[in-house]
Amino acid sequence: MEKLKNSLKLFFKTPMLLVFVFITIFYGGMALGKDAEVDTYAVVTAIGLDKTEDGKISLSLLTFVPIVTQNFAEQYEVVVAEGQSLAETFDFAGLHLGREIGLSHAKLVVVNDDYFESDVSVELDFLVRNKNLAMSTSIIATDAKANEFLNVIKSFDSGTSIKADDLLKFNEDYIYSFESTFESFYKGLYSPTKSAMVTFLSLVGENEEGIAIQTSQGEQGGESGSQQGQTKRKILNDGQAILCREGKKVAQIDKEMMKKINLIKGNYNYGSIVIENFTDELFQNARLTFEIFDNVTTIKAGFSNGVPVIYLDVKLLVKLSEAREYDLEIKENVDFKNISKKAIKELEFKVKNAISDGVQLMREHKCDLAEIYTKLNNTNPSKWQEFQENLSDKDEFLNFVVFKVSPQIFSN
Amino acid sequence: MKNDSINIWQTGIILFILIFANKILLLPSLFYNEAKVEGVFCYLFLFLLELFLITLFVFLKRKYPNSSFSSLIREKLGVVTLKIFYVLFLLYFFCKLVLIYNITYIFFKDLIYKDNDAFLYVICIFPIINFLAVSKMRVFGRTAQIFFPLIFIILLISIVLSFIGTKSTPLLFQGSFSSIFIGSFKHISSFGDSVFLIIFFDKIDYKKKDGKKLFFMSVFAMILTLLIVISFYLSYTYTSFMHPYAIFEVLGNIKDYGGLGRVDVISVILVIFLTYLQMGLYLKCFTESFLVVFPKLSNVYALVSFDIAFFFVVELVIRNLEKTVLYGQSVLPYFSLVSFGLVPIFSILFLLMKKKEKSDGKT
Repeated sequence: MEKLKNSLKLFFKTPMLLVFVFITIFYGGMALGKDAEVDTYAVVTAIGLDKTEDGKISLSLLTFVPIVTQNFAEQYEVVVAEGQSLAETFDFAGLHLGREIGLSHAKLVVVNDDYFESDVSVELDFLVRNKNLAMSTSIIATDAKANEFLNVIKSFDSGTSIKADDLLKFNEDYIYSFESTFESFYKGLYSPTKSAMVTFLSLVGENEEGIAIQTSQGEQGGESGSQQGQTKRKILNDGQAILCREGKKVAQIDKEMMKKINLIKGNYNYGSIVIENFTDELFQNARLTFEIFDNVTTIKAGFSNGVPVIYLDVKLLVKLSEAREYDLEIKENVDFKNISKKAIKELEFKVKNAISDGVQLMREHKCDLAEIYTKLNNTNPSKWQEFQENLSDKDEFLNFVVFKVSPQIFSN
Repeated sequence: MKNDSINIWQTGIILFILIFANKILLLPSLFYNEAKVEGVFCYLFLFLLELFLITLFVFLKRKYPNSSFSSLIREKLGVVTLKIFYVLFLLYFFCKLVLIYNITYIFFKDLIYKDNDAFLYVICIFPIINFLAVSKMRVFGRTAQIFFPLIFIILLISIVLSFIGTKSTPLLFQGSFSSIFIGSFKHISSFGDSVFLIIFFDKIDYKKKDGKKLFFMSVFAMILTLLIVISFYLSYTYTSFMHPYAIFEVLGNIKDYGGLGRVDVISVILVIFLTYLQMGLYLKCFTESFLVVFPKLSNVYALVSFDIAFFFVVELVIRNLEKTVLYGQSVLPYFSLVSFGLVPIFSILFLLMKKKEKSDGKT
């Protein structure tokens, strides 16, 4: 009895223990009595934004629907809502679902490219600031309806292990060497030149070119979708991207142009360079394909007589991987052939031309995609300021920057 | 008395925690908003002021090793000045507690559980900081000492990992001198934590060469803080102002791009430790000031009056990030006159008085 008394005394004298017991009883009870989260929230994994013909916003949400089944397949539904503003469409979507919209699991936002005709950052800003969408969420631009796009993704998520963001990850690692996320978009938008790039994917018919799986799905009509007819669509990933300035689309660029931009940025670790109709002591009228294994690009900025100069030093490590002589069959293993000086010169010329095309694109659209502004500013802020003051349009500074390119090709 | 004093290493650890604690959440983003990447200079400027306060403490401790700061004021400037000065201290620590409470409440609400209510946070925070405030200074020092290795290891891991995600070049030379000074003034209230040395002046065991240890710990904490801030600016560059919780965001950047999984969780653990210790010490400072103003009352009265007043203010002031930032930028800087204005003036005055007493003694 005495022991119990002492223990009780000790218990009441230890505030931490009291707090622990209180929290366990109070919040434990509350947690047990609370509704399951999935009954309160609709778990959205992807968002689609379209514009309707009458100028309204059409919001599509790829939503996880928890249904008790005996297999491991996840059930997804695309819910569509229309409204005058994004806030309104989210409210309507909540009404359709009978739940609050939870975006913490959203990994993808698909935006119809109509949105890029005006400043798309207004809509994206709403999602980040008001709906707490993570800045790491990927953005895709598409020429198809975002709603249709989500229906194709729905088949991916339900039927296969291929996820839409895997395509983006592949593009990021091997084709673009840039991220297409809210973070990268805003970094570009708030940079001095307000330029950003967004991945572009399109939907094509079943007989057209495309790398992803095909899916059978119905076209959506009206809110919450009623199936009208079956069409087979697939996602085409051909390395295209949208170039934005101040949140608006200024150009759509293909994979080849992306490679050229990447050469300037120094992110060109994948791909190949092809020389057509090449003749030297080893080949005659051949098409040579060189695989790139490594790339070291150093960009240095400087000023010469007040004129900004960018020194691009591009070092590429290449390997001759294919040789096709048009008139002859392949005689020996091309892996063991040395690259002649002539071929190297030809490659260097190709690289110079590619960089020149990339610079031309940036100049044409006033988009600085290689942080040229930052480098010039950080090198000599006073000279850079002075140079800018002499420009009638500061956005056209790239037209007056001299690019000195010195490519060096190394054979493995 | 022995139980109520801390040695110089414990003092250094507390100083380390305080210098680090409130500087790695909202501040980097707010400084970027004011002075772009040059927000780092706001830190440098305010850290210099912090070092100035520590220097004053070291000089004062050498001249008056056994006195308390309150007894010095009473002795040299009278009881009225003492009361006014400590009422200002009371307000100062109260306001700082409100700020820290708001920032951390919003941080945990945003990142851990959006549906939690303020009551849950109060339950988790208040009993512990109240307990820390009523316990002896030695207990507090030991607690800080026990948790310090864990805090330090998490901190080092965070700093090393945070530099993995950095790949952009920030635009330099965009912040002007005026933006740096305006930014520094707006957020001066997040600094000046070393004023706790003045509050517990007589409870710090100080030997002749202990000043070096204090400077070592504080400069070390400042360097680590700057490393976190630099890695944050390098990770996010132009979007730094969109990321409010720096320590969490730099590790979140690794999660997003470095493929290391949810390493950002360790920053939450770090903030939990720092929050408890920082708020506990502020409340302890509040209690000490309360006992100087009302010497006949016990520290239980101090805590009860604090808890009641706090609930009123918290209900009126907080609940969202915008209000908290506005409160921190527009109201609190004026209260910082206590730490960066009155304390240095009084300290210099006492040092001069001691000099005069000595020269008078000689003549």
